[in-house]
Formats: sequence, C-alpha cells, structure tokens
Amino acid sequence: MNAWHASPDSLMDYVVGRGGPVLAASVEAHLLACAACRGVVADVAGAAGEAESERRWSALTAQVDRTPSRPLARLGLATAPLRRAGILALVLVVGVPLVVRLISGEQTPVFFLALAPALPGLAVAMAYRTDTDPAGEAALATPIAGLRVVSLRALMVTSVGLPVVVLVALALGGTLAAALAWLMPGIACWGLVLLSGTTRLDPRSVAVAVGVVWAGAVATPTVVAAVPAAVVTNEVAGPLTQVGALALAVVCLALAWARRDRVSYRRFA
Amino acid sequence: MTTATAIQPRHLEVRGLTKRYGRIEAVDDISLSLNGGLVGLLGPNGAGKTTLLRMLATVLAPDAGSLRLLGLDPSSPRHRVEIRRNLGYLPQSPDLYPRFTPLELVDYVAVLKEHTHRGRRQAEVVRVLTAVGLAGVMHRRIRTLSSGQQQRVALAAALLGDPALLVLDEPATGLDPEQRLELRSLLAAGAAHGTVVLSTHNTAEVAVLCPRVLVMSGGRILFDGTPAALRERADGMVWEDEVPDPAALRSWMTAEGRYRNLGSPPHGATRCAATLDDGYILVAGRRG
Repeated sequence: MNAWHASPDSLMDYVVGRGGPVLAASVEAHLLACAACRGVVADVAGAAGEAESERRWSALTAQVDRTPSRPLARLGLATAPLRRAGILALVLVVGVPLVVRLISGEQTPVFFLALAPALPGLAVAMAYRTDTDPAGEAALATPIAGLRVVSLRALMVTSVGLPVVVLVALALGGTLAAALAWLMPGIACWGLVLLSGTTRLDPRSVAVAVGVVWAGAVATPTVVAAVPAAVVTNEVAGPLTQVGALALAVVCLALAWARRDRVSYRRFA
Repeated sequence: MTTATAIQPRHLEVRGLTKRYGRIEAVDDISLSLNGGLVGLLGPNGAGKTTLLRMLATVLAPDAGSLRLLGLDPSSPRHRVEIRRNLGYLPQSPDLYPRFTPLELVDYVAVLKEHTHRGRRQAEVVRVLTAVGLAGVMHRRIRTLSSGQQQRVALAAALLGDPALLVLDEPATGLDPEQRLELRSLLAAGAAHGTVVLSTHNTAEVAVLCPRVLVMSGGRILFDGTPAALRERADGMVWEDEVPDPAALRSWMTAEGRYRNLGSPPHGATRCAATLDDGYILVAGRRG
C-alpha cells in the first residue's frame, strides 16, 4: 500500500488529457499500485464525463434550436405574398419598357420616363398590405409595426428593382440621362406613398394616382403636341425637375418619419 | 433608443369608449377600470368583444372616449410604442403564415418586439414555445400543425417578453382539455404581475380563471362583477318542466329531455340551482 497519493490536480489533468505524456505515464504507474487513487480517478472521470456530455448536448440543442438567420424572414419578406409582390415589381420594370419599345419606337425614352417612377411607389404600396404579414394582426400590436417595417420591405424590393430598370433602359438604347433621370422622381413618388401610409389615405390608391399624374405630365406633350423625345428627356433630366423631385422627396420622408408612429394606428384601423 | 416611459403594470382605464362601423355601434360608450389580475369578457357573437379587445391592443383607434393602458395614453404615439413594448396580443384570427415554422414565426414577432440581441432572443423564443408545449414541433411548418397547435404558436408570440398587459381574444379556441389546463397556468402566471384580459364563450373557463367577469352585449357592458355574482343573478329564476314555458325568457332542452326555463317562475314551479351559464344567459339576453 502506498503512503502517498497523487494530487487531485494531477489526477484531473490525467483524466481530461492535460499535462502531457510524462504526467500520464507517472500517474498510470502510480494507479497500478494505488486503489485509493484509482477510486478517485473513477469518480473524477464519471463527473467529468457527465459535464462533457451535458456541454455537448447543450451545444447541440442550441444549434438545432437556433433561430433562423434568413434576413428576408426578419422582414417578413420570406412570405409568398411579399415575394410575389417583389417578383411582380421586377416583371413590371423589365416588361413595361420592352412593351413600350415595341409600341412606341423612337419615343421609347418618353414612355419609359413616364412609367418607371411609379414603380417604387407601387413597391411601397404593396409593402403596406396587412395580409402579407407573417404574424397577421398580432404584428400591428408590436412597437416597430408600421413605418420601419414597411420602409425596410419597400427598400428591399426597390433596391433590387433599381439597377434592373437602369440596365433595361440602357439596353433598349436609351441615353444615360434617360436611364437615370427617372430616379429622383421615383424617390419622390416613393416618399409620397410612404407618407400617405401615415394618413387615412390608402397607399395603393395614392400610388396609382401619383403614377397616373406623373405619367400624364410626362407623356402628354409627346402624345398631344408631338414634342420630340429628346426635349422631354432633357426636361425631366434637367435641374428644375430633379431639384423639385429631390425637395419633394426630402419633405415627404421627413414628414413620414415625424409621423412614423401613426402608420399602423391609422392605416389599419 | 428612446427613453422609456414609466408604466403601471396593473392600470387599465376606459372612459366613454365608442367605436362605430357605419351605423352600427360595435362598442357603445363603455367605461371600466381594471387594477390588474385576470378579467374575463363574455358575450354572444357580435357583442363587441373583439372590437373592444382590438382597441385595448392599440390596433384600432376609438371614435370617441379615452383609454389609459398601463397608465399611458395610446393616442400619444410615444406612449403607444411604450405600451406595445409591454403588450402581448392574441387576435381572434391569428392568421399565421403557414410556411413558417413556429420558431421562425415567433422569432419574427420577437424582432418586431425589439428583441434585438440574437442570443437572448433565441432563448426567449425557445422559452415561450416550450411554455405553450410546442418545443417538440417548433421546426415543423405551421401548416402541418393542428388548429390547437397553431393557436398556441400565436399565444407563444403574445407571451414574448412576459408582457405586463395580455389581451387575448378567445385563447382557448381549438385547445383540448389538457391544453386548456396548461393555458390556465400560463394565464394565472401572467395575471400575477400584470393584467390579462381575455374573451371567451366558455363560462366554465371564466369561472375557473377569472376573479372578475364582464358580460357584453350590443356593444355595452351589462355586467361587471365576480363569477359568483353573475351566477347569483339567476338565483330563483330557473325551473325545469316537461314542456317549455312560453312565459320564460329562455327555454332549452336538457340532456335528460326536460326543459330548463329561465325567467320569472310560475307559482308552484320546481326551482333549480342556478349555474353560471344561467346567469350569463339571463344577463346577455337582456339588453341593458
């Protein structure tokens, strides 16, 4: 029988594999001759095994039960109705210029400028629909229901559509001015529809009305008075229209932000 | 982050609350004051319960009257946001997106409820799903769950963050008896530190759960008191006979094939002990 015993730290290091081969050989040599230390090792190994098993199990369940990381799900955009809204917006931005090209020939830039700015507004209007929210009415009783969610959804859909519209305009033979001139009016329409969601007005109706007014204002000179496309394009791309649209967009977005807490309360009442 | 406004978890006050849909007054000049605990709202279909609960949940603006929820005024945007931070709402038709899993759905609502820290949000989502007994199915699509399980997904979303005010529109719909027992425990826990307002058609549920019961009909509150007081309204006004009594306010056939009559009993009638159902039918059947 041994008169001395291995220290608890040495035994623990041996059990968990720390300390290297020299310590392991030394402890094993001692264990061969010491029943007391073998008992300690058995206890320590059992406890360490349970702790390790618990740790691994916790890590496994945490991994399995982790919340989804899909950013689209975060915004509720993973739902089919909102996906359809996004796809529809893309189909419109690609399809409308193509159709316009087919029916209007050299006047294509005018009709493109007449129609394109309405698309961001429509994207916002679609993001307001209550029936597209994954949590239904319960979502309206949450602190960030309203402008923040609607804006984020609309930005997601619009940001995908914007480069597509520009590329389509360039591919159809339009000038860079024509391809970019619609952006600022489009942002103004976006702001107007967003602002309408903080009132009792229906954003969908506002989106359609704003789109019709803009399209009429841009297309009428060409259709009625045969004003050349280049003149209309220059007018839309000119500083007056662009600065005016920028000012309108800033005012609308500022007002919408100031009234951000009214979105769900009034809109969905 | 905005500065938090102090809330009073057990304070809910309604004064002259009115909501109209065209010519119909869904809620008609209601006033009441709650001081925490569990309050049951009974009433027939079309009584105005859901409209009242939607206003208490801040998703519907009243046409007239005032509300104080958790001591705050929901007509103030800043206060409304603060109320919603401390509010759990289960609508009558949860209408959950069927292709989400319960985990995804409740996580989405947690994001809307400003649970921004991923780790803590994950723990909270799993906690509420476990509390409603859905831990085993939280990775399945909602469309594959039973209606009772779907109802519990919506309930789990309402329980996120242990809110001070719980507004529940028919939470027991679709639940089996065992699940109803679990629901009672959950609601009792919620009522211990805040206010729980629930609507139901089930008088037995109210009798077990709620120290206070409101009976609505025609947009008005016709009774406000304890379940025992509601039952006592029918004391001495219930009798049974072989045939329905034309003089009774209500008559219906019992499982034994006799007719239970409610109203002013005729001379010599054998009176029966009143139940909570009798009290409710008596009150809800009489417009204010």
